[in-house]
Amino acid sequence: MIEFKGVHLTYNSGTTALVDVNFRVMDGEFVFLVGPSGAGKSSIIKLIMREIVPSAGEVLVNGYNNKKMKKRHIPYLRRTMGIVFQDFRLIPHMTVYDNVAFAMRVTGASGSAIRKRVPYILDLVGLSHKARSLPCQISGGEQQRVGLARALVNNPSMIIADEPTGNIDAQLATDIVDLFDEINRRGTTVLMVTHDTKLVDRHKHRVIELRNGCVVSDTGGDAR
Amino acid sequence: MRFSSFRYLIKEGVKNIWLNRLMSLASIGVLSACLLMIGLAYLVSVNISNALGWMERQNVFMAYVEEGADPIEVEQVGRDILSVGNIAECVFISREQAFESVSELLGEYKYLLEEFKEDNDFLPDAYKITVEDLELFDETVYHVQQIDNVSHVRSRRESADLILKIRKLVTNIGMWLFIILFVVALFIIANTVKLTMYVRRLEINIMKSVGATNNFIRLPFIVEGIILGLFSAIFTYGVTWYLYRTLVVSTMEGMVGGLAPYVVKFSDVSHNLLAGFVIAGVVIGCFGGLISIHRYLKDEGGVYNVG
Ligand SMILES: Nc1ncnc2c1ncn2[C@@H]1O[C@H](COP(=O)(O)OP(=O)(O)OP(=O)(O)O)[C@@H](O)[C@H]1O
Ligand SMILES: [Mg+2]
Repeated sequence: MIEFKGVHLTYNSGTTALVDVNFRVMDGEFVFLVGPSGAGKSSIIKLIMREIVPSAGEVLVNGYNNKKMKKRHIPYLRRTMGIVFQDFRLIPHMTVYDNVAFAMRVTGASGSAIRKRVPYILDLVGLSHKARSLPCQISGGEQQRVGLARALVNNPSMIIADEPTGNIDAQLATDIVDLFDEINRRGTTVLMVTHDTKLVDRHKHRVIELRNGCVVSDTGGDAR
Repeated sequence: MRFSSFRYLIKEGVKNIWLNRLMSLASIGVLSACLLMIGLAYLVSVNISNALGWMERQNVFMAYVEEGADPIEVEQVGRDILSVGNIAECVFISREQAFESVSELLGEYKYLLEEFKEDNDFLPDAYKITVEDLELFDETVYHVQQIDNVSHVRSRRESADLILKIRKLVTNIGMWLFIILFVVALFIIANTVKLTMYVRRLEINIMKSVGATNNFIRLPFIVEGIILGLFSAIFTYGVTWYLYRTLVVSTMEGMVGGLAPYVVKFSDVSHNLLAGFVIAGVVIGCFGGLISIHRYLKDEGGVYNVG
């Protein structure tokens, strides 16, 4: 569960990015976070993954309080979520398989767990046949599916995606969101930032709209 | 930690070195140079200590006869010395004999002495005196000094005082050298590791975003530092061994064969030297790695943006 309570955020530079943001995302929900450039969408993502702390208010994520939690617990908070980036962030010299296995390995998973889990996840995103390819040998849409596989491999309870379709063309973007849908149907919470109104219209989900750091509409309702 | 994780971290550390091999080689070079200087300072100091110890155990001193004393006076000096007491042996060494033994000591370099051959002041007649009780050494030397026609005495203890001063100097220089080179080496390793970290920043970024602990992120870089330190230690040990044997020991033996017994054998110090190098290398490597990763995780620790 994600809960923002009266969150204000002002960066050190003096820019105010968020003003009194309140919303709650329940387990199993699918939420689109939309708004124009500079509205504060990425700032919300950064707060959720505890890259930054709010200037005022509270951010609660999967039982962790953003501000009060100990620094050494940050890795464990992040293990409860899978993060997908707009620019994929695949390691270029590693195969698709290794890119996904990497996320398990560095959180201390055993070799046998990795050998069991990675093929399953690659199958889920439809990339079993590309396991031995390098990122440069597959399309943008496929690269983002690898990114999603990596986010999913540690079995997080939610997926946080900042414009995951921003760098791929329209048709492939729909496929990616279909995949997010599928994952959501299996019980994983999804919070997806997007600019793409067509995607939002096509997939009927809750939409939170930000403008100038304020939540201006929320189709989900229980903001407070 | 799981064994598989441990193996993985070691592998990553080795990979770091390979990924950044030019810089790794350079830092091994600099670190080795630092360790080599520290090692050589140690060897000099050990040799001085050895010579000092040997000298302190000597119960022999020389009494030189006044220049221009006639043979009868010289003989009288010998009798006077024996009457001082605590004298085990008193042997007369004429100027000619002294000259011979010095030439012998110098071996092939004895031509250096040729120009001194006619200089009477250079090596006067002397008595070589062995004392009975070492406890009374200084007292005996003092009494001999008071004898008529004894110009001066020279005990090895006098040279020992000089050597003691030299040792103090060498120890001091060695200490400073060690501190300065330690910092230099630390800096070099830290920079190498930092460069590797820059090369691997995407991986670090992903590790953080998927929830790897700081220790897990840190370890490969510490392993990298330690391996660099170990390589340097072993390399330096080899170089020191070679230098010490070929340069120091063999030239000494050729030049002044008489000094050979004072020179410490490499095998006597090899254990200390190797242990010292390995410990210094590992400590410097470990701290170098830690310093840079600490700074990196602090300053550029962001997950959202990749540098
Ligand atoms: N690290 C930062 N330091 C200072 N100001 C920042 C920082 N990051 C973002 N901002 C500012 O905060 C505001 C919100 O930025 P944010 O990145 O959250 O917007 P966004 O909605 O994600 O925009 P986009 O759609 O372009 O990605 C902007 O005015 C931005 O300039
Ligand atoms: Mg953004």
